[in-house]
Amino acid sequence: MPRPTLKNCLLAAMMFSSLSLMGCQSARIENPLIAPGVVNADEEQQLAFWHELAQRPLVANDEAFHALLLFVDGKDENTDYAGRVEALKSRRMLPGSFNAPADQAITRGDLAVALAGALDIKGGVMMRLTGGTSARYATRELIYQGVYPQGVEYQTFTGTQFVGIIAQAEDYQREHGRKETPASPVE
Amino acid sequence: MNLCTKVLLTALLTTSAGMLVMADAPTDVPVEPRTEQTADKPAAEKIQATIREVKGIVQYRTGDDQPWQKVAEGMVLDVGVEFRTGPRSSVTFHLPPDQVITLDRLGTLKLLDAINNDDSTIAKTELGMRYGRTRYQVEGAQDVEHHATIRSPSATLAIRGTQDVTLTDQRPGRASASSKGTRVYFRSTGSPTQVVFGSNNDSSTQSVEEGDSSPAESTNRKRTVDAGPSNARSKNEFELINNYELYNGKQMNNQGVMSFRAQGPTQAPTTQPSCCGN
Repeated sequence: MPRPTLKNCLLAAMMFSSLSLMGCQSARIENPLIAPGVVNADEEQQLAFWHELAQRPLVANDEAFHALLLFVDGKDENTDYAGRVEALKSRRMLPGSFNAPADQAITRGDLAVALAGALDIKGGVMMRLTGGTSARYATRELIYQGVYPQGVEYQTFTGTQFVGIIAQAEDYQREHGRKETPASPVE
Repeated sequence: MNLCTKVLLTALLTTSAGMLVMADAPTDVPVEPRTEQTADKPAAEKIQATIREVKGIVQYRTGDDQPWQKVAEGMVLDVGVEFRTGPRSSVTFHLPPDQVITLDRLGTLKLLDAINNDDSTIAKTELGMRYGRTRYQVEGAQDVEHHATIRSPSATLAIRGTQDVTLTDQRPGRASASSKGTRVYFRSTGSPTQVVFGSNNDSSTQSVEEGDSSPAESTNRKRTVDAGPSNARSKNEFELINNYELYNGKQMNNQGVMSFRAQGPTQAPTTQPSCCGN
């Protein structure tokens, strides 16, 4: 077998580095639903946002946090992504170290941390020891509670799945004390 | 041949010919005068939906190319109307004579068809749900035969009954149907066969999820907690976990599936394999 030359080694190292960097990047969403400065204050605009989101192949961080604030508060008065992240951090629905970009696809773990905070799910020993900010344990806890499907924290959601998760979160709230609505499953 | 014979032969031939003609002739039985039941029936009547209740944010449109508009209580809408709801929202509408349909949170529903026969003894309804949860109820105890079908991307639910049915199809969850006092036919993409459950005389509630073959299987699966890595399990392992408790204990020799040999492989076992919890 011929000895590898320096040139070949450098070329192999460059290719390996390029592939690694490309593989480690999370998916980015082009043309997000939310334009900077837009606030969906109108209920009709909010409804259009939810159902357009359900048609998307992926959900960006900005879209997910906007939807989360609509779900929790019924409104989102923040006009940009930084405001939404700050609002969620102040409620301990996002860890203080969170710094993902707005157009990056939301991971199941990040959403799990936020949803666990919104639904006031304390979890088990490990989740409490990590202060509820661990993506891994928040994901596992939501799977156990039936809000999440089986999966891992670094996976993403399609738009349809994301809207379904929000619907599951609402069902969870109904089962744990919120008012019954007419179309809940037959008992 | 004498005259008498000719006459008799002629008469015989004539009679035979007449019988043959009569046999081939169409039966011209006079039609009984038409009664009211057999008179021409008017075409089945397409009925309209009346909005009974709106909660939260709900919109409707009358066609795929029409704009979305806000729904208000009391509105009367034709077949072909499509609804969509937001979070913590629902819309309930009434189809005469006694059908009540509710679309729950974050869903879309289209009224594909709604027909009553001329004397309103048969009501046929067809609904299309892209995602969400829809509840179909029948009010009162009127003498109406209901034939309703709810279609979604993952499931079809056919209803033949008089009480209370719900179809949920919202990814990433499984499609599911629940029924109270109604016989339903549930077909889902995860199951090769149709599941029939519920009874018109039974007031208990039963539910089936996508991929399950019976309400019992759905119940058994839901009450099982798998603390291990489910992504690495095979179908047989899932079945074993779901039915673990049924084999009376947690020892392997009580599984009814296998047991450990008391001695080495070169010697014959001194105990017979246990079976079925013995």
